[in-house]
Amino acid sequence: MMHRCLWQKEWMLIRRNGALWLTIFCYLILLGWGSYNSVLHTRLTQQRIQAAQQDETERWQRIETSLAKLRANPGEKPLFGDVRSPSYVGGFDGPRYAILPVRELAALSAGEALPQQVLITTFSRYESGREEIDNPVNAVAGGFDLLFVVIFVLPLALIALTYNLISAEREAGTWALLLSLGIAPRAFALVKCAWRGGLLLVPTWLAGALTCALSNGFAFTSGGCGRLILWMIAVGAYTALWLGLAVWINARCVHSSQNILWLVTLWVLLTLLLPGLTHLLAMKLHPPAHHFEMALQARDLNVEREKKLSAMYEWYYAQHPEDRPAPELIAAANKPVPGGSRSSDSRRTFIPSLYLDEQLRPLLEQRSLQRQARKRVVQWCSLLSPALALQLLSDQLAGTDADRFAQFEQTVNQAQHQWRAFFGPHIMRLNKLTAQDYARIPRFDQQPEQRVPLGASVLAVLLAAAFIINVAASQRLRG
Amino acid sequence: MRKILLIARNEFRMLQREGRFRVAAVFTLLLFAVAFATGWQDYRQSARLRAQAAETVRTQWLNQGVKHPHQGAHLGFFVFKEELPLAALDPGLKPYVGAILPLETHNRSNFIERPADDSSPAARFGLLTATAVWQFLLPLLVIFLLHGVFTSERENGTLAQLLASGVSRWQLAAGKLLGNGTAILLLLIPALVLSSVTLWRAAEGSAMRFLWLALSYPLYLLIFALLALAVSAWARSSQLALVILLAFWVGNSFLLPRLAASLAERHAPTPSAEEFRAAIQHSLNVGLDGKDEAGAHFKNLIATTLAHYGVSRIEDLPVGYAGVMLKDSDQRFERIYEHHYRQLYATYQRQRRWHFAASLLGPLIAMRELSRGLTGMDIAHYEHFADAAERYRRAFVERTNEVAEKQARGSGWELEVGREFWESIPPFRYEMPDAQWALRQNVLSLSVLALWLALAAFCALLAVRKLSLN
Repeated sequence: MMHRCLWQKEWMLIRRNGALWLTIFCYLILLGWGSYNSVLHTRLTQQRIQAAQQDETERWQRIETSLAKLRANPGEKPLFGDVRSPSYVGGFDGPRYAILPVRELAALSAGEALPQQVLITTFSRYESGREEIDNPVNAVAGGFDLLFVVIFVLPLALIALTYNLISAEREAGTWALLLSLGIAPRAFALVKCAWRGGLLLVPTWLAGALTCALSNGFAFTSGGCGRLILWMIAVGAYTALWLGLAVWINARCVHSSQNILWLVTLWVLLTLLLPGLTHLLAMKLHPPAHHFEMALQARDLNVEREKKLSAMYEWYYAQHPEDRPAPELIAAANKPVPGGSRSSDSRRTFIPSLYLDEQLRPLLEQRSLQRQARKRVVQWCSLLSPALALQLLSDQLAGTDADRFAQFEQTVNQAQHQWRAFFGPHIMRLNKLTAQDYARIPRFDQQPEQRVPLGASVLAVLLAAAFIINVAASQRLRG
Repeated sequence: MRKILLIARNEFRMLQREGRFRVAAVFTLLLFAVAFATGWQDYRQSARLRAQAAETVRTQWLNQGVKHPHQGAHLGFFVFKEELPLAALDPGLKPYVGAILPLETHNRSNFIERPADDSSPAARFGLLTATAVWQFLLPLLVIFLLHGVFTSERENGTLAQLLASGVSRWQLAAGKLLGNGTAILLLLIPALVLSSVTLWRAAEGSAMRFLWLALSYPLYLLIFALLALAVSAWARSSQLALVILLAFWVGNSFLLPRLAASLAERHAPTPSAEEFRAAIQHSLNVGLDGKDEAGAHFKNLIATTLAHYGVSRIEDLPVGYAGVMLKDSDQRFERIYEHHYRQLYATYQRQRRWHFAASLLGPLIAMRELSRGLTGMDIAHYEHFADAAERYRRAFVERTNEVAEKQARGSGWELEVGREFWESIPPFRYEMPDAQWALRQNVLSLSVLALWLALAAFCALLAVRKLSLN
């Protein structure tokens, strides 16, 4: 009876509290904007994948048209862009895309925001496509997506609604009166937290579900629903944690202003400073391999190129003696084309790429290991920062985490290996492609992904932290 | 004046005794020291590696052996954007712009090897740099110190007594501002001294930039101090003053920059790297107007060249056809790349308008732009460097094409050049623009900050004038 009265009275107080509704309104606006951006970002990712697939289709249509023309005029010798050339098809106009599908919950977190469509060519992946052109001013500012609102803004809104949970009663002189009526402090705090937390948490849950639904056309699988529920539990734990902190601070301090100071300080510490220091620590413990080394090694292959080319050819033919072309083919390929290129010997561009990747392999593997090591440092530090923990979990549920991209990286490497295994022998034999060859050119249909265990540990950390804080807070209140 | 100093001294003494302020001060200074030490270490390592890499690149260029000059143009150069020692304080856009700019024929590249691509998942929370401490934490400290400047006096009932004792409200406001401001400056000054001593030894021509930086941050904090004074004079309670000021700080520090970035992307979207490359490739295939197909273009070039020299075969040309073709091809490439890069920079400019509009609602965006500009790590400096590099690239490519045309005959591919020719191409020399140039690029940011200072001062004057005892 008393509890029901508490719930009703609290709702009546909330209804009359204009500042509270203003806070909730501002939060909802920001939540809406973040969700909108998340939907747009996910749709843009999907559009880019479709555009890549469309581009591949169009290029292959052009190749087929050019092939038909050449079959009709067998004597024609294009100056540039001969579609019978394995180098041209494998490296310029024929490359295919390896695609990392967008998951159902991708809208929850932009995550690593890496490209999900990678062009597989005969050229070194290290050398092609290293440039990025997005505006660095926007990149430094950061994204305004759903996860940003949940991690940064939700705790602030919770602080705004709960900083004077109990201190307001103390300052108004009604706390003693409430206690004298037999109202348990814990019950009182619980009702207040439930209402105020609920008014923010429920719209956040709805926003998460709606954002995912809008970005994938309302098509959810049971796995997707399960992940969404996990995300909701995680956000619920995050909310409970901040509510617990608010109760703990309220129990500790007398004045509302002091409560705000402490809560904002905690927010700065847990949401800004700890992640910032974590990043510094991760980069110091596992510094990135310097970028110049790889770039200079790639460039070094072009110094005294002719000498190095001979050595590279011998390196390849030692492993693949069956691909060695006849001397007359080599001589013909190295004859300058009048009005065209210096040489049509496409081994000159293919073999350095192959050789470069072989030389860079240890450095690239080291880079990958260091990335994994930095990720482990961040995972450990997420024990101290609930914001980091929620981000890591959201990334994993959305399928935009570092592990998934690392797996995709391996898939892409395998795809390139397959592509080079097809075109390499043709290029190194100085063959032209035949009609039968075109039918056997590899395609990269969706590869099944390895199932990665969900961040259960991260979720457990969040739940545990929320539990501990709330127990501590209620103990404090009881005192 | 004596009363102002008396009030200021009193405020300062109270703060000195305040345990929480001491803890906050020590913590802030420690954070700054960690961030600056990290930044300084990164700067020194980058400078050393850049110098080594530049030497290696030049050595590779000179030792590339005997070959056709066009092959040398394909080797090209790597150039590395210079950094001032001030980058240790504010690395600006460095994490999101590559460290290396490749220069070679047929291709205008953007920067490659972005540090952000090899980072940690925690980087998305923002990087902890020395100036980030000044931009985010010090204004928060100012708010914590000054939010109750008048409201606490009113709540304690001492405001009436103070005013009755002959202190005017202006003297009270000035004294409070001076006392608390001195405490904040005492946090800023050691940081500035530490950074100036470290940077001075390495600085070449960045003294003026550092001075402007050292002046602008105290003025940035003064904006917050005046706003805090104004809100405290106006608000009914300390609690209300604190809530308003914190809401402003959150909006200014976290919401506005991201809102500006998302609006900028929404209304003037940057193409993806793949779309940009595909658009360039399309123009290369069919020309900018879609009517200059590459195959037909080069067939036509053969015909016009043969006609110009009155011969019927390429082998009979008195010049190297390779040089003629490469010259024409590079001019074609340059027109196409210029067109697409101008479009890209125009997109960045349109996006900049959104950031400027947002800076009218909160001074952080302008302060950040100014800070980056003064340390030489803003987009204007990167574009200045990229333009200088592009002029150098065109010059050495043109030189190789000239030689390929004038010193060869017929098809022109038999020509070979050696070390003497490679030495004749001078190394790339870049001069960082001076502080005046940096300030000219940031006139808008300076204006916005001045506007904010004036607005904050006006609000403070108005609020103090209407200061009520109840």
